[in-house]
Amino acid sequence: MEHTINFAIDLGTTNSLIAKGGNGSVTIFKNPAGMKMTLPSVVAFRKDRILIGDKAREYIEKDPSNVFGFFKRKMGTSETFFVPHSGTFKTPIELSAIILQELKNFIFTGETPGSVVITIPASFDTIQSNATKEAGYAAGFREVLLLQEPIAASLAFANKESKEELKGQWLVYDLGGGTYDVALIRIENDEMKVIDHEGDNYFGGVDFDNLILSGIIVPYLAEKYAIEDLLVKMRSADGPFNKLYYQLLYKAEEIKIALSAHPTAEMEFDFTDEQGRTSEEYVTITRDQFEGCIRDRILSSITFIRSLLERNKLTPAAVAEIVLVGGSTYIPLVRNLLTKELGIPVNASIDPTTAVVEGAAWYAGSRSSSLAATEIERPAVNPSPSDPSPSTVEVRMAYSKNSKDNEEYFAAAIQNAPEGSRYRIGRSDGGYDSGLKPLAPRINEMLPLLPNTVNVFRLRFFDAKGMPVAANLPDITIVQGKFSIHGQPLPNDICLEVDDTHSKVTQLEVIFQRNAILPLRKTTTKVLSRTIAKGSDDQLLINVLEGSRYSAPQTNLPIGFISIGGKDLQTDLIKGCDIELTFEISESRDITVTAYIPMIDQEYKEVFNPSSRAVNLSRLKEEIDFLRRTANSRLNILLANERYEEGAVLQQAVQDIDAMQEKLRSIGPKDVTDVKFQLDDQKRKIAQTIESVAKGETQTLLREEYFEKKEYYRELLTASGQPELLRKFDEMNAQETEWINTASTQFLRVRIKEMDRLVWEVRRKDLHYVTWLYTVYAMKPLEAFSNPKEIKALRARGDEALTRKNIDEILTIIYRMYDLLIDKNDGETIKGTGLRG
Amino acid sequence: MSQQLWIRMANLVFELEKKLGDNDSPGLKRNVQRMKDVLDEAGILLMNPMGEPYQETRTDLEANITSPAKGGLFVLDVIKPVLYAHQEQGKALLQRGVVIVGTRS
Repeated sequence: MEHTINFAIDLGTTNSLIAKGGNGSVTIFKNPAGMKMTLPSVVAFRKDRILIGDKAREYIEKDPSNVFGFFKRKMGTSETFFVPHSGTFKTPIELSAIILQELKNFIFTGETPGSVVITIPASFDTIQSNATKEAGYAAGFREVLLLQEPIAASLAFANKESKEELKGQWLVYDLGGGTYDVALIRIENDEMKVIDHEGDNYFGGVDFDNLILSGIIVPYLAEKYAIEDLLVKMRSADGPFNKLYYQLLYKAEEIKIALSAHPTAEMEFDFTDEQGRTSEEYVTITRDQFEGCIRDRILSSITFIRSLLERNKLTPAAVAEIVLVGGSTYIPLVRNLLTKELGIPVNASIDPTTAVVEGAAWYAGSRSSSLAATEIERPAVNPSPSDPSPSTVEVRMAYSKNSKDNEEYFAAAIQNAPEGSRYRIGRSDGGYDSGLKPLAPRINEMLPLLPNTVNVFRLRFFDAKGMPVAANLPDITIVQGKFSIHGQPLPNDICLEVDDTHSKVTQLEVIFQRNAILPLRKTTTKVLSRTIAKGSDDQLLINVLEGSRYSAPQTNLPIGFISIGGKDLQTDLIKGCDIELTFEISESRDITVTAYIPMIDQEYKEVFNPSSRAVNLSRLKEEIDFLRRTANSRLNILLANERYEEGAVLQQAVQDIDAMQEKLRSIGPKDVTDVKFQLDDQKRKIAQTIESVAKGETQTLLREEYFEKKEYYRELLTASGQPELLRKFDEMNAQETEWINTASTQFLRVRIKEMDRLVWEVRRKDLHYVTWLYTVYAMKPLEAFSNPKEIKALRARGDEALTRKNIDEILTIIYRMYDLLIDKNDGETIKGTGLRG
Repeated sequence: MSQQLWIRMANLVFELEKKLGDNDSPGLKRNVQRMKDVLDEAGILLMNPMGEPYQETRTDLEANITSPAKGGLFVLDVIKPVLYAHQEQGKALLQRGVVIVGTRS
C-alpha cells in the first residue's frame, strides 16, 4: 500500500507555518503557546536558554548580536553567525533546523513525521535548495521534498476553486510582513513551472505601519504640541517618546487592518507632551489618508511586475489572473491598483496568509513517500546501541504541589541523559515556556503560576540534535491559591432560591458546587421577578440554602437570608430591575451575602456564621402553606388510585402541617424562643416525607415523561431547521446524568416544563398543533371559565380564525381562554422570592 | 455570543478601566467589576500585567522592549490585557497581553 507524505512546512523569511494534508482536507497547526498559526522565523540565544519565534523576535532590536532573523536569505552561503552569549557559530542551516524542529512541536496529534514537503522561494538556486533540504534532515526528517512557494500558492487556489485543469499563465503576487515576491507561472507539458520572478527583500506590511506613523500621526502631534523632530525622538532608544513609538506602532497595525474593512478608523491614545501634560488623543484616519501614504510604495511593487512582463515579452492581457498571497494583500488599495494599473483580474479567494502552506499540504497529501509506512510516522526516539537507552534516563523531581505564591521553585535531578541534551518546560495553558536550556545533572526553575488554578507543566528533553528524548515523565501539577492544603471542601452545594416564574414554583440555582475549596467568592446579577411596592408587606428574599441543587428548596437547610421588605423601601422596586448579589464563604464557613440594587443605589449586607441560624418567619409560613397544598393535591391523587398506604403517610403529614400552622400563629415577629427553628427543622422533614412518598412510582412516571418528551422534542427541533434552538435544547439536558436518578419530583417537573417552553417556540408556528390546542380549550365546558359570555364570543371568533388559518389570531384567542380558565392546575405553586431564575 | 465577541468586550472593559485610572468613584468601580464578573461567567479571565516583572519565559505577553535588554525589566504599559478561557480541562491562553517593557526609572 502506498503512503503519502502529508506534512508540509512553509519555511518563510519572516514567518513559518506547518500543516497536514490528505483525505481531501488540510489542517494548519497552531502554536500551543499562544495558539497562533504563524511562528516568526527568529531564534534568540539568551544567556541560559534558546528562544524561538515570538519571544525571540522581541529581542531582535535590543540584543541584535544574539538574535537571528532573516537567515533564510543566507541559505546556501558560507556565512555563519557568531553568538556572543555562547561563543559559538551558527549556520543558516542550523538556525533553519531549529525553526523546523519548533514547528514539529505544533503537531498536537502526537505524530512525528519522517517525511515533509518544505517550500522554497522561486529565486532559490540549487545550492540554496540543497541547503534547505539539509536543514530538513538536520531537523530529523528522513525524506524532504521541496516545492516552490508560488507553485504551492497556485495549488491552494486551484484546490479552493476546484479547477480541474489550470490553463495559461498567471502571476503570484506575494506581499508578506517584510518581503515581496512576484512570480510568473505557466503550465508547460502538463507541468506547473515558475517561468520568472522578481522581488524586494525589504518591503512588506511593517512598512505600511511605519508610514501611518510618519505620514499621519507624527505630523499631527508635532503640529498640535509644537514638537520638533518628533519622529526622531520617538525612534531614539533612550528618548522620552520611545515607549509611545512602540505603542503607536502596534495601534497603527490595528488601524491598517481596520481600514481594510471600513472607510475610517479611530486611533485612541494618551499623549504626554514635553512639559509633562497628558491629554487623551482621538485621531480619525480615513482610508483615503492611508492610501495616500502607501500608494507610491505599492506602485513601485507594480513596477517590478511590469519589468518581469517586459523581460518575458508579455503584455498584461496575456496573463489570466494575479493570485494574491501574504497578509498585506488584504489592503484594498493593493488589489485596486493591481487591477487598475495592469488590467489583470486579481484572485483573492483564499486566505493569503496560509495559502503557501495550504497548497504545500495539498501537494504533500497526494505525493507518495519513499519511506516504509512504519518510518513515515515513527516514535520520536530511535536510539543507537552507543546511545544510552531513553528508558534509562532517570529523573527525580521536587516541588511543592500547593502554593499561595505566584511562582514556585522546581528542581530535578537527572541521570543518564545523552550528552548535549537540553530541556524545556511549558505550562499547558500556553502562558509560560522556559525555552530550550542545557540539561545538567541538576536543573531548577521558578515556575510562574496562574491564580486559583491547577497549573500543569510538562518537562521535555531533547538530544544534541534537537530530537525529542522519550522519557516517561509525569506532569508537574501545582495548585495555586485557594486550593491550599489548609482549604477544606464544601460538603454540600450552596444554592440560591430563585423563582421559576412560568411554573410558579421556586427552584435552586447553585452558587458554589459541592467539593469546591474554601474560601469562595462569587458575584451574580439577577433580575427582580415582580414589583415590590414601597410600604407594602411584600418582600424581596435572598435565601441561601445548603443541600443538593437537584432537591426541592424546602428540603434544604437555610443558612442565610436577606429580606428587603416594602416597608424598608423609599421607592418602589420595579419588576425587571437588576439585583447584584455577592456571596462569600470564608475558610471558617462564615457566609457573607451582599445585595446591591443599582436602581436605588442601596447595598444590603449580612454575615451569617454556622453557629447561629436565622429563620425568616413570613417565608416559613409561605413554605408551610405551600407544603400543605402540595401534600393535599398528591393525597387526592393517591386516594383516587386506591393507594391507601402511601395516602396514610401524606394524611399524617397534612395533620402535622396543620399543627405547625397553629404554632406559627402564636409566634410574634420578635420571638426569642427556639420554636421557629424547631418549626423550620420540622418543615424540612415534612418536605422530605412528601418527596419520599412521591418517589417511586411518581418519579418513575416523571422520568418516563421526561425521556419520551426529550426524544420527541429533539426530533421536532431537528426537523424545524433551527439549530440555535436545538443547541439550547441539548445544553439544557447536558447535565442529565448527574441528576436524573436523584432529582426531586419538583426538579423533574421544572425540567420538563423548560423543555415544553423551548419547543413551544416551534409548535406555536405549527397550524395543526395550534388548531388542536384551540380545540382543547374550546371543548371545555363553559363552567370551567370565569366569564362564559366572553368564552362564547371567543369560540365564534376562533372558529372563523380557523377557516382563515390565521395562526396569530388563533393564538391570541387561546391565550385569552387560558386567562379565563378557573382551574389552571396551579395548586402546587408558591409565592416566589422575587429573584428571577 | 461568540468567543470573538467576548474577547472584544473584554478588551473594551480593560480600556474602560484603564481610562478611569485613579477615579475612585465606588459606582464606576462597581460597574467595571460587574463587567469582569460577567466575563468570568462567560468563561473569560481578564488579567492586567501592569507593573509585573517581565521575563522572556512569559509566553502570555507580547513585549516591546524599550530599554536595553539587561537588568530587571517590568511591564511599563499594557496595550492589550492577557485573556484566558476557562475550559473543562483547565485554562487556555486566549489572547496574549501586548505590553511595553523596560527598566523602572
